[in-house]
Amino acid sequence: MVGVKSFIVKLCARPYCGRSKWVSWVWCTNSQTVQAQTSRLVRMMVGGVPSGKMRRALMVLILVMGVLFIAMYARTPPIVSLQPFTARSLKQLQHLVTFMGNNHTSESPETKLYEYSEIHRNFQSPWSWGCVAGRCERRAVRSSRTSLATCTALCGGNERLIWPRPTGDVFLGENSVTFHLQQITLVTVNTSDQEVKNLLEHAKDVFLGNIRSMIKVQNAKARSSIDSFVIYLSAGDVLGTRQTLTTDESYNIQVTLKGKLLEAKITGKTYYGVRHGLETLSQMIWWDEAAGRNGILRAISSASIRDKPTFGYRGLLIDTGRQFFAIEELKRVVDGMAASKLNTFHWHLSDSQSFPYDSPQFPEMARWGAFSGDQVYSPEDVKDLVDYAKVRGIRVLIEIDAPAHAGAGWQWGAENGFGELALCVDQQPWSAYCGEPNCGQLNPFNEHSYKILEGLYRELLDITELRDIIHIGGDEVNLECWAQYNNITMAMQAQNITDLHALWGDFETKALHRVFRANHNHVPKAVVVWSSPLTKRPYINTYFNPQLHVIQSWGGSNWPETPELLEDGFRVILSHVDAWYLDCGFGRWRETGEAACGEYRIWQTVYNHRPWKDYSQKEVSLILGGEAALWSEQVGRASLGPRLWPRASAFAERLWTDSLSNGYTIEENVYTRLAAHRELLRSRGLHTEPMWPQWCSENPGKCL
Amino acid sequence: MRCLFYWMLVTVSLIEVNARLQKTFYRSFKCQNHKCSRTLRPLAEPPRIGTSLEVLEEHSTLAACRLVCDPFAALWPIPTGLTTLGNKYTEIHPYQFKFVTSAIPEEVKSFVDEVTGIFTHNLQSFCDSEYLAKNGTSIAVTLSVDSSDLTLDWLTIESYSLDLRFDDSGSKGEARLTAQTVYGLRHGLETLLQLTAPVIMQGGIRGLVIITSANIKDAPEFVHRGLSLDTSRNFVTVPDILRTIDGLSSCKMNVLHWHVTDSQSFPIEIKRVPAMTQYGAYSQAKIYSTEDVKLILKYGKARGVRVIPELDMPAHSGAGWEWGEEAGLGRLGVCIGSQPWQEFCIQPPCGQLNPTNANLYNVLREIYKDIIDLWGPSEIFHMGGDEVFIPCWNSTKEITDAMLSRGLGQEVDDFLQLWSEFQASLLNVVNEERGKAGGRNVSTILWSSYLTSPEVIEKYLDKNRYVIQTWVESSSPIPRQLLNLGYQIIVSTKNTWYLDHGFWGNTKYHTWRDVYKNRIPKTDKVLGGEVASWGEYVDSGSLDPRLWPRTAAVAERLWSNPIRMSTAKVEPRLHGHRDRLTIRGINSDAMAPEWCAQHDAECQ
Repeated sequence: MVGVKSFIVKLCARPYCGRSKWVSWVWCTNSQTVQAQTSRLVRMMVGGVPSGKMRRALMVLILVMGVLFIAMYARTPPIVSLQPFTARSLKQLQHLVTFMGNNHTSESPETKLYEYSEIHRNFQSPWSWGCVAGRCERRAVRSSRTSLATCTALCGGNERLIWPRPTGDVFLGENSVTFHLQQITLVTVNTSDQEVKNLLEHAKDVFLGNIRSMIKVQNAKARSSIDSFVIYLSAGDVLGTRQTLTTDESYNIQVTLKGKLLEAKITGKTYYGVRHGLETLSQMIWWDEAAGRNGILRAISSASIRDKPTFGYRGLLIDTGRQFFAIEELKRVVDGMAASKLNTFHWHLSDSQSFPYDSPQFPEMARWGAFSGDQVYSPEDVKDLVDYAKVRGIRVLIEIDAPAHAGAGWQWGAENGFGELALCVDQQPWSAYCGEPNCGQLNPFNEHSYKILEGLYRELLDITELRDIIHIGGDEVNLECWAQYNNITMAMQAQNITDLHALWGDFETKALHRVFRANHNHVPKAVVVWSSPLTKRPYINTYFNPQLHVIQSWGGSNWPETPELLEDGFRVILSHVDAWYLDCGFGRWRETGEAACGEYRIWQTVYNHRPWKDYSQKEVSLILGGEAALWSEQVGRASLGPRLWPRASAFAERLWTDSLSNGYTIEENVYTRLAAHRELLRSRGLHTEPMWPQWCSENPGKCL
Repeated sequence: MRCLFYWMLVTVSLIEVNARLQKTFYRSFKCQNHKCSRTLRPLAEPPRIGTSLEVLEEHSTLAACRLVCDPFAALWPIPTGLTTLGNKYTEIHPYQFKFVTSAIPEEVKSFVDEVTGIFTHNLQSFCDSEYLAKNGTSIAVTLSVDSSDLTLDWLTIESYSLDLRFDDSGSKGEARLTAQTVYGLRHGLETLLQLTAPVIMQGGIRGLVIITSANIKDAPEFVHRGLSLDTSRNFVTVPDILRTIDGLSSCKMNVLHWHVTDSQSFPIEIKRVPAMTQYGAYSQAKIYSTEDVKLILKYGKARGVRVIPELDMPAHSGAGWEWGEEAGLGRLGVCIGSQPWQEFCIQPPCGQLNPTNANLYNVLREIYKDIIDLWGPSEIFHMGGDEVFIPCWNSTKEITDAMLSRGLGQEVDDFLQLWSEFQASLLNVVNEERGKAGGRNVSTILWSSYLTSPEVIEKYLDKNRYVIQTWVESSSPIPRQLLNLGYQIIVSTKNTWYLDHGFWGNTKYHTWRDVYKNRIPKTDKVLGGEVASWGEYVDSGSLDPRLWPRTAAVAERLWSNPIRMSTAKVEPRLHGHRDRLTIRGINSDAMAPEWCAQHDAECQ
């Protein structure tokens, strides 16, 4: 029996999960599972007292498994291909290079190779981290290392680890336990509504997926210090999972260790609160690479947090009009937003450059407007993203910008008998008719344009089911575009309109009624429009209604724009260009003119922006929240991640926590927590920009 | 009843087909005045490929349009010699390139096989697998190389000439590619690759076309065309480096200057001194093992890219040097991690080698033994040498005492003397080890610094042994002054070719236009230039968009050095090259909204 056991151990210790082209990982994992099962069996037999027939039966079982093992081993490819990477000779590497040269796959073999070899390299790091005066300090040690992650998680008082920092009472203990993913059980309690319960099941999966992504070494053997980790979720008696402007996102967490049972209780008043609680809980869990041989999961063993957001609207704008991003890429954005409790994905779906939405009612829109047949979103795609976001506590607010920023996709009217749906499409010289090439503006005198707009909004609102807030665009109208058409000026004369702004205002009014109809005549609580000349005095009071309209103020933060809007009693969403435009800083993308919006906003600028610090309480109450914007003139698909993160995370804490700030310096704990948060994003597969050289993350406080 | 069933079946399938047809649409691109633009209307079927006899009106892809519409067939970088290009293309299959290698010397045959293998692999990535299964027009490519030498250095002749033609029916093609060296041959194949373009065939299958006639003579303007990549501030993975080499090779860059170490981390495995990475690497996953390095070097060479390592010294050294005292060797580095850092270095963490510790040179010898094992005994190294921070040495008693005992004071000149002695000893150690390994003395590259300032450089550094890489602004007289003194230089213009600018301090992001417009002096002593990617704010998460397409802009400056080529004229070609990079898996940043890429010259 002992012989069998040691044989198994020996067999499994062989590095036969080396990179062979065909078996590689699958085989390796299988054998390890088998090994785990077998060794459990062996332990049972050695430790337990089965006797007689039972023992014989088990013996037979063991033997059979042994035979199976040998059979598996015999079926593996020749031993040469099973050598671990480090033992490879240069000749084999040359072979690999040639192999790579001839291989037609999207995932390059070298990527797989390095994933493998990284894990198996032998390396004894001398570095350990100790907590000195609330800060982790690195020092060389000979044994019993503490990993940076563990030190960061347990050192630094109650202002540590959680991003965004909770706004209520926080207690974070300084003890921790080790555990395995399989030990987690999530239980829904005190929740009456079935819809909430169903959605919580998805939230549980997301949570477990997030924890799983932290695991750096699969099947690591380190010991768990607890028997089980039970998480209770309670959403109370709330009905439904509709996210509205007044949805209560608060939650409480209690983490307690009862003997060998780790218990976490998350209580919220809605699904969204509970979800945020799970997000916070996942930030109290980390991978401790210094535990055992290969590391293990670790969690804080006592904590209590009460938390709720300062602002209810915490948005991020993604622009798929200038560039196309696949749904999967947008899902990664949602992942990042969920990690820092942002709650609104403002999808600037179309612009004058492209119309990527493949509308079933108006298929011509995408056919004329998409960059190519591959760069379209079907209604199923939109639904997929909406569902994905909802589970993660995020509403998808879709904007079809109008009347300006609309050209591509609107050209098919004339030849189908609907007249010109849009005007000055692609007109040159562009600078006379629009803010940036290519031009395009809807035709305010063509009823079909409004009908189509209504139809599109109806389709999209039926997918998002967002009834209380609708974004209708409305920025940067170029009146010269309209003024050049005789029939427009004549129609204006006929209707006694003299100011072109009135034409624009008239468009907004008509569009609004269409949008109401698209919303099944349900009047939303908020119709968002971009700030523009029309949202300035005197026009604003003619064309917009403070009870209905919300102005997304994107002018400079020192402009009078925002204060005037507040003075006039309008609710606002702040997107100040000088702080929260994440696309700035990449110079001009045209031959002529100035760079679009100045320098790159470093994360500190984003974080420090606190425009409401001088506003009165009444004015602050009109601020629904803020939104960071990533316009995509200069954003390729690979830069989507690094442009957003960690800057949008910094933005998220400003809106959730709104810590006091003098506008210049940032507390050390913010740096430390953000560095940890960036690691969390990376573990979830996001591409991020570094905050600084990694050394600075490893030596908290030393790079300030 | 059965009839009805069949009728329903047919109807249902018709509806399905209809739905599918409704969804699928194609674009076409039209050539006017040497500019390509997307046509207005969606198409139910992609435009025809046609035969090689026709000049087509419309093309199914931008790349195909540019191939015959652009005056330079969208080649990047543009050839410097006589170039004539046809205005037609014909369908071709990746496997139908038949390479004739009888005129290739035996010694380099396997290398050439590898190079043609890479060529075929790149062609394949243009096409769908359905297309790969087909057979079609064949093309015989006769390769010839004079030299059997595989050395890649500043003397390597990289010129080539390419002649491509098809018979009148367009069914049979022939290409002759002649070069002096395998590296010239490689560049020629890169050009041949750029003379092909993906097209969309009937049914949406992605296929391939090739221009039907081309005659190109080409040679680079500068011999040193490089990218400096910092892997110390933040780690860059091996696959990232390999992919970067792919990008460099796509635009005929020939140097990857690998700034491996800095004061933040020491990620390259030194087998003889394992403590370097144990102390200096960020983690065990963030180490370049000896095998990794071999792979990178080999991968680069097969793509015409020479990897030049830089272990920056004596400043910019900290991580990895902490273990001296524990090992009984005294302090190998000083001011390591000193705080407040502003007093000891220009950027945290501080660290500078201790030139007065004799043991340091033994450690350096061991390190360079490893480096020479990896790179070979006659390869050029970059030895760093930038930004020595005198207050660090000046505040270290051990050093000032030793200086005193050598008769040196504490003036700036004394420290420069100490620094230059360190540099001389280091070079001596390296050259001794080169000699033992059977190599010859080759030049060493150093960053410009106090030590290389035109007033003092001749006192400290021999112009026959050192090449200076200047990293000053374009307005600085220093490059000219060094040239006048007779030094060879490599230029890294700080205010245009520093790709990390725009993300910190008062620096400004340099657009591809700024990068392209920067011209460096053209004399025999100017070996070339390097664009630099410092790693404080870039790692695997953003490497590609940070480097590309701006590095490609530098590539054309250094290969072709066009004099009268406005960025407005260049833009469509660069859009084209950006698309090539994308196909090769390199995700560049966007240059403009995609609409602008699809409508040449409409966004200016």
